[in-house]
Amino acid sequence: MDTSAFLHRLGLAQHDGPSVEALFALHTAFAESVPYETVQYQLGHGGPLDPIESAERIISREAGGYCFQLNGAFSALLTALGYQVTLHRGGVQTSSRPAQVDSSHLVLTVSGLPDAPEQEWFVDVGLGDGLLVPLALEPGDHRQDPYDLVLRPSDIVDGWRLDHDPRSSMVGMDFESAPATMSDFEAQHAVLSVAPDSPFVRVC
Amino acid sequence: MLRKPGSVVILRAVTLSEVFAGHTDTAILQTQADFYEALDDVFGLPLTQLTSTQRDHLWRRAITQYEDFLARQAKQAQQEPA
Repeated sequence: MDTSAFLHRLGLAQHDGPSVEALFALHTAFAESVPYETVQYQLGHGGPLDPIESAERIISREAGGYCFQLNGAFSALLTALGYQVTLHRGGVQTSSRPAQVDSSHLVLTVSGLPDAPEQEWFVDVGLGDGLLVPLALEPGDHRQDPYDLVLRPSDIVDGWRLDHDPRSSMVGMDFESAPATMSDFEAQHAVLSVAPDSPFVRVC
Repeated sequence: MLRKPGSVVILRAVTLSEVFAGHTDTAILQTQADFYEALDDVFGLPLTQLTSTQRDHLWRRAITQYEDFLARQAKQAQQEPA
């Protein structure tokens, strides 16, 4: 992966090493530059799960992505820049979909930043209308215009729950504290990216 | 969808919305040119890798999805008590 090209794609000239400020700048730049999109699934070809492939398509402006691709590519970028990134299994709750952690969402956490070594961060650029900047991984209410967000311990897993603003189509999202790998998302990606009844294929 | 500092821009089929703290702006993209202009200018997706056949196909899918949405809305309105 061409890290310099990725930073350029995000509108960032350089990265001077991991820090809270730099993580926030990367997260904001990614969320404001790379669209959450399912246009790529309208042509029946599916799309890559591999983070490096996703990153290359983002860099070339061929595609944005959905959660697996956006958070996967962002994790690859952060790792290449020296961040300690952990993947987690998650699941999104909507008005028609109950709260569950079924690997239908990929979540990131970042830890061990030199200027906040004890603090973990909830990092997620794959929710579409979710986070603009990371949240400290601790209970709290947050305002990220135009939405109000609440982070709290999950009621359904050993992990965390993001309650989204009532104006979002997403009710909330739960994720496990346990670490995951990209292979944990292969089965869901295989269905969600190509099945005719997948919500990501039905509507672009 | 794309995050902005104080809003979220959403394109669902041919409905382009921007959600702000106090209001939401909505527009229906009426033409294929408007659709691809929004994908490029608003979302940064020029989609130059698509053939003209694929671009036509994608536009027709978006229109069909919007018409299905309108049909569901109309059916729902009919079922609601007066």
